[in-house]
Amino acid sequence: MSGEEGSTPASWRIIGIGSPVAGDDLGWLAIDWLRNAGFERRAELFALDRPGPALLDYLQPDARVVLIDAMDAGLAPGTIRELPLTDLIVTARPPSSHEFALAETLALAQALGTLPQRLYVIGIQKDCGFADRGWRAEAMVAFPRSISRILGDV
Amino acid sequence: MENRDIRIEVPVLARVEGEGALELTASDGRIETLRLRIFEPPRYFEKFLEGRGPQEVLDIVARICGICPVAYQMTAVQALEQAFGMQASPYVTQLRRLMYCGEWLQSHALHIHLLALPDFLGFENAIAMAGKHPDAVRRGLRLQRLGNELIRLFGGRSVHPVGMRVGGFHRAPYPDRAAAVLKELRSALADAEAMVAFTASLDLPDDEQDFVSVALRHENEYAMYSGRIVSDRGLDLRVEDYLERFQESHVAHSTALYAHLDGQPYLVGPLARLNLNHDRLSPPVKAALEATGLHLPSRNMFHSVIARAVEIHEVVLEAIRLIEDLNNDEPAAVPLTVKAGVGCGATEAPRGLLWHRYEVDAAGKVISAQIVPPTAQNQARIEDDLKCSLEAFGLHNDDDALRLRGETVIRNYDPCISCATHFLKVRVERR
Repeated sequence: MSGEEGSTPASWRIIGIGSPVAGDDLGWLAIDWLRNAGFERRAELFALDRPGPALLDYLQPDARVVLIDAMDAGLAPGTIRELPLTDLIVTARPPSSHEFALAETLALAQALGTLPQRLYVIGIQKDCGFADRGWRAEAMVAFPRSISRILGDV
Repeated sequence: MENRDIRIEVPVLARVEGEGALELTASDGRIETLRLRIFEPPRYFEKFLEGRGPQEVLDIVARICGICPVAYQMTAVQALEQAFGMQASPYVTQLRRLMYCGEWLQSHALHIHLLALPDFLGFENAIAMAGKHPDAVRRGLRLQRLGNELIRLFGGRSVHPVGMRVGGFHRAPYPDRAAAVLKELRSALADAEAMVAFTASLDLPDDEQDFVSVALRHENEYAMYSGRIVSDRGLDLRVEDYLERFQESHVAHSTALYAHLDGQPYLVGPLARLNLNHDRLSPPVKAALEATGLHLPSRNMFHSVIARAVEIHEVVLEAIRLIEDLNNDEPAAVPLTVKAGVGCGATEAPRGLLWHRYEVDAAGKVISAQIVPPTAQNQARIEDDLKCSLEAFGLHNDDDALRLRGETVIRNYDPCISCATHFLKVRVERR
């Protein structure tokens, strides 16, 4: 984690969500890729270990945030997609102590009025866990370009 | 209407730490059969532990639950130390209690604000409630985050922490981070205290029932990390003697084991603890509790939400005291020595009594393991409660009302299947 929670927001806050273990590491990997590509000069970079509702600490209305998480959309491993926020929030299920995932957290932020004005959600298609992971090297090149496009959008 | 034949099936409690369902048949205003079915495939953790060394055990048992991994680690480490003939220092014991405070705080805060409050304030779920009661939701999230920070002081991370070892901790908390958490705890104290009166002011159902409370009891602390196993019917047992009075058994409709005390259902968890140990609360918490007028011991299971609030107040105060007493000159661990043996451990997980037993070989590797979690111990009591509550509520109520009351009763125990009970589907067949 390169920034500290609660510090003065940089122009962008990029947050990778997942876990360094158990095969859910794409959000963390993305943060590594961005760090290696020099993004720390442009944004605060965070890798969060299954934050659940604690993600709300990083979401303020005046923050500009990019969230990166693994997704399973039946695409080729490593495929990168920007996920429309409204489509994501509509999938939120009633939250529970054990299941408070990204959609539920964003729905709660919306209900509390704390969704950032600028919020992008990027999904990276995961693999099945046993596949050839050579795609990760290609994605490592493509991913910073995708993020650059978003940041350049503002 | 009340004499109708009813068959309620809640086919899927959905996926959490367990997959379950509720089945109920009634006739002539009385429930004939009621089964809380847990049909999650067995997880085989006890078999996974066989052949594993001490540190592997601590890492593996943490994976049993994402909400209370500390409880599993604390109980396992206690049992392993007993098997190895090791004794943790009083200082390490206090550190463990401090870390445990974090888990109670985060678990109770999450349960009260995101699971229980929607039931008692009349909302479908926490997201729906957040628009009308944003301050309550924010308070819950603040307290939950603070609990996670406490765990992180020791464990490196709050989910499946990695800081614990047999004999103590890999390192003591960093003083600057401990000081920052102490500051936050002091700021949270007013929130924690206010929660006792807030939960006592909720319009809770009045549903007195007869049940046996079981919890650890410590000679001078509000029991969390250690104590003897006691009940309000005279039980007073060493942790090692648990199996003499408690029995686990299979039932056809559940892959979770049922536990009984001398053949009878019993309650573990916050209300059982408060019933048995309210005299061990610290003076400010006793005062806050007395101000509510709540009479203890309570026979109303819905007072569990008040018990959780009381325990939040207690652990915030306790964590403040323990952090103030931190002393970095004290070693955070004693050296590990292993030998063949058998050890038992019992602690109070947020959801109630958790008991472990390990037999280890001369290399310290597990030969056999037995883990009795709180939800398994409460399962028979939940079924009894559902039967009593739904009959008291009135079977003349429509299906949606019965479903909601059933969900509320189940959620009140904060079982690991509680998440699922927020979206029960009910089907009623009238014969």
